[in-house]
Amino acid sequence: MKTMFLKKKKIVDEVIEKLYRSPDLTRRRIERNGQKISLLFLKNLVNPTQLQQSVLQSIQNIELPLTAATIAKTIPIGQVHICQDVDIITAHLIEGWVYVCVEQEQNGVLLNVSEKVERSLEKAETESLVFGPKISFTESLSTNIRILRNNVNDEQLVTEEMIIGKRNKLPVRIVYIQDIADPDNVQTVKQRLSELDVDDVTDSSVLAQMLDDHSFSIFPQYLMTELPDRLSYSLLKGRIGILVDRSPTVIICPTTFFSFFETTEDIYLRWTMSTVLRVMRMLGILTSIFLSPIYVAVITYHYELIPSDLLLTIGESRSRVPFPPVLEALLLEFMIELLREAGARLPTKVGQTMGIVGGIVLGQAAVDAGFTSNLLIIIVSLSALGSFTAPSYEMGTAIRILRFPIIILAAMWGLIGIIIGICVLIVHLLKLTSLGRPYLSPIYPFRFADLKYSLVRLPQQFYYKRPISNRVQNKYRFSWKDSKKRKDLDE
Amino acid sequence: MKWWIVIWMMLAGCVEPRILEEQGIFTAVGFDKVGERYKASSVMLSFRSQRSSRSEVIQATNVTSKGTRQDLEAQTSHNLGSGQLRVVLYGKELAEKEGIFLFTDTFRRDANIGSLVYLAVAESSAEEIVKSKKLEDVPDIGTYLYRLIEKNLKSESLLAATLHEFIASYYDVGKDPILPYLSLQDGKPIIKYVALFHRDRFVGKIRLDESFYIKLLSKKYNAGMKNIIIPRKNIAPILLNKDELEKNIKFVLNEIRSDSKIKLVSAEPVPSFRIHVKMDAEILEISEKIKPFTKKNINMLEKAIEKQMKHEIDRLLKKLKKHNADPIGFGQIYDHSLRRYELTNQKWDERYKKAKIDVRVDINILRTGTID
Repeated sequence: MKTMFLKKKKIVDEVIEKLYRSPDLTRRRIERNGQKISLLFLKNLVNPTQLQQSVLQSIQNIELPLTAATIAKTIPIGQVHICQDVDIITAHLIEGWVYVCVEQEQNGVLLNVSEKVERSLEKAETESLVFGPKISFTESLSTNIRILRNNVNDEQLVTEEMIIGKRNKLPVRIVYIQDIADPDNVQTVKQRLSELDVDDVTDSSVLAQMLDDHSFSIFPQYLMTELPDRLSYSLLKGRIGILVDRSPTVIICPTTFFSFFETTEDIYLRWTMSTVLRVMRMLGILTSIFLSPIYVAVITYHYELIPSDLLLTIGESRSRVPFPPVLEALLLEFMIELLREAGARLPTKVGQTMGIVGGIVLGQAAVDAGFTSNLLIIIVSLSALGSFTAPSYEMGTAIRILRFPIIILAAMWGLIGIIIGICVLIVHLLKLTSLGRPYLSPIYPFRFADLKYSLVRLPQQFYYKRPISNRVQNKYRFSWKDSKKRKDLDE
Repeated sequence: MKWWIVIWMMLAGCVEPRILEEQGIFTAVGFDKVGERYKASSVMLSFRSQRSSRSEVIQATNVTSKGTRQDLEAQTSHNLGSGQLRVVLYGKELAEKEGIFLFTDTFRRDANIGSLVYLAVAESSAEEIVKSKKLEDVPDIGTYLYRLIEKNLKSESLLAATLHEFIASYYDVGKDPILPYLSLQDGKPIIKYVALFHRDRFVGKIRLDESFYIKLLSKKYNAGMKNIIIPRKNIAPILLNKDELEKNIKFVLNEIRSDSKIKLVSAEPVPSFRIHVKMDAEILEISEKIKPFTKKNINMLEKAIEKQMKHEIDRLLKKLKKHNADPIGFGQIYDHSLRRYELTNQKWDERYKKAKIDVRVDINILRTGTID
């Protein structure tokens, strides 16, 4: 305002100045009955058809005299904003708005005709399901909100907006269900987000790292998902979601250790199968962490423990190997990690071939060359498989890394070393929190009723209560008594 | 402080590694007495990538048992490891003349050796059995002997064979250990007898079918099998063919479940015990045709079997007393039943010889064949 009057400079010129004369910046002049109007926009950011049909055409047809107010009133565009502040105008222009300036008035209207880069809805890639809804979130926040609203048809669903990042402003939505989610948790999330002092957040995973309670822990503390059904399921159980623009993954908090081993498929399958699958997954994880360390410990220190039937087979295959068991195990684990990493980096088609070549050819050759024992090949591939069963990619990776220090402990002190490793791990897990809530719940603090939400699955009628650990406000989902009745045609 | 602990642990270094393929692993050891010296024969596994002979026997003689170990070390490039030791054999001569307690004692003190190692007495010498090459499908003699003894323990024909049981019975006043007695049949180790001990000294052997009664008297018995031979004249009324009454008829009892109670009836002037054995069984095999199994006939049969068993038990007890071996533990019962009386081994040895033992057997035949 000040500059405008003192220097008598036009807003339009100032905006052009402010955007460093961007080659995209287009100025279109229109004259109707001597009234001059300028349209300012960045040409690659606006939707050309909308610009033409909704803006240009309707300006031609608006009754005279043209003022910012009449344009704002009559123009057929959703978001309209009368504005004179140069800073606000430039901020909107780079988001793809159009500024319509009536030149005599020194006033103008901002119109939203932006077109965001977006891909179509696709199947989830990182969290693949055999059974159940396949749709996944995209990089566009508005699309994601649309999907979420579709999934949670509840007027209590709150989507609060926040802007994070000083330079590269990132719209973030905190979503929760007003009468279920714990207000303390909501408050914590808001507080943490508003206290963030960063210039730029690249992705929701980066945001999650910024929100971590313990940034030096190996374990991920927030669940990242790209499945809308998983988000809506978590919201209805009293959790909070953070949607981030330009990111297809959503943060779910607070998170417990066990929720990393759940998939939504567990809910879609019948309870018997999902209980078995969940238990199997947990066993897979244990195998993945401890099988190769146990091999190292037993072969190095505790040959007494080998059953006599296995003794000769193991001894025979070991007798060709020139390395001590630790080196053998580390070498092979390193090899498998290389294979996995190479497979992940290469294009899909090449990646598959490489997996086969690497896995079969290299493994066979390593045994034939007397590089490793065949038993270790089995163990290492089993533990790799075990880590892949973790439905969360982040957790799977954490578990694979966790194996290495335990192998080294096993090599130093045998089974005692493994026990030391387990102790440290348990103490660490007990101390961890996610959004200030215990990470190891429902095991510690022990919540018997919540075991059915994490370790096992029961028939549907047992899920009449929301999980206690989430400290939900609205505790009951339905009445326990009614759920047991099954009405028949005769009744 | 935290870091100091970590650094201290790192500096403390590692435990001495015992990498599997660098170990010469014993699976069986045999001890014999040769003159004044002991001879140890050990079965050592050595791992080779080709599937050729995978166990070898190394031997050493020395004046002490641990001394033999050092001599054995000198004979191999591997570190000798006894963590997989399964069976320890003692030559009959050694067990008879010196007793085996001193040998078992060192095993008990060695943390590498489990207390579930099997002990056994070898007929002639331990060396011969250890060197035997007839092992069925098992790769080494130690594992073969282990499986042989384990199987017989499971099928309830052996009573006890572990180091733990041996030591426990040895230290118990009024109870003597018992071990399997291995002999060679066409060069193949088999169990035909059970070795009786007085304290740690081998005193005699009984047949496997006799050891059935030791088990019957001392423990609950489950799912075993027993042959019994009865004079035909005892069950004459239910025989179809009543000729040749002086001959015998054979029965096989199966699925035997029994329970026994031993009671001290009076301590003076001689200890007198009453044993009551209750037994359920089914008849699996009869060597000739007999009359249909009516209730009356079964009763008669039960009576005859009871009588025969009582007879056999009496004979066994007499034998035990003769050897002064008390595997059933009458001394223990005597000791437990009397208050303020400290039994010592010497006292019991005298009294056991004079003890009067009265046996009563109750048999209940549940089935006479699966089909009926």
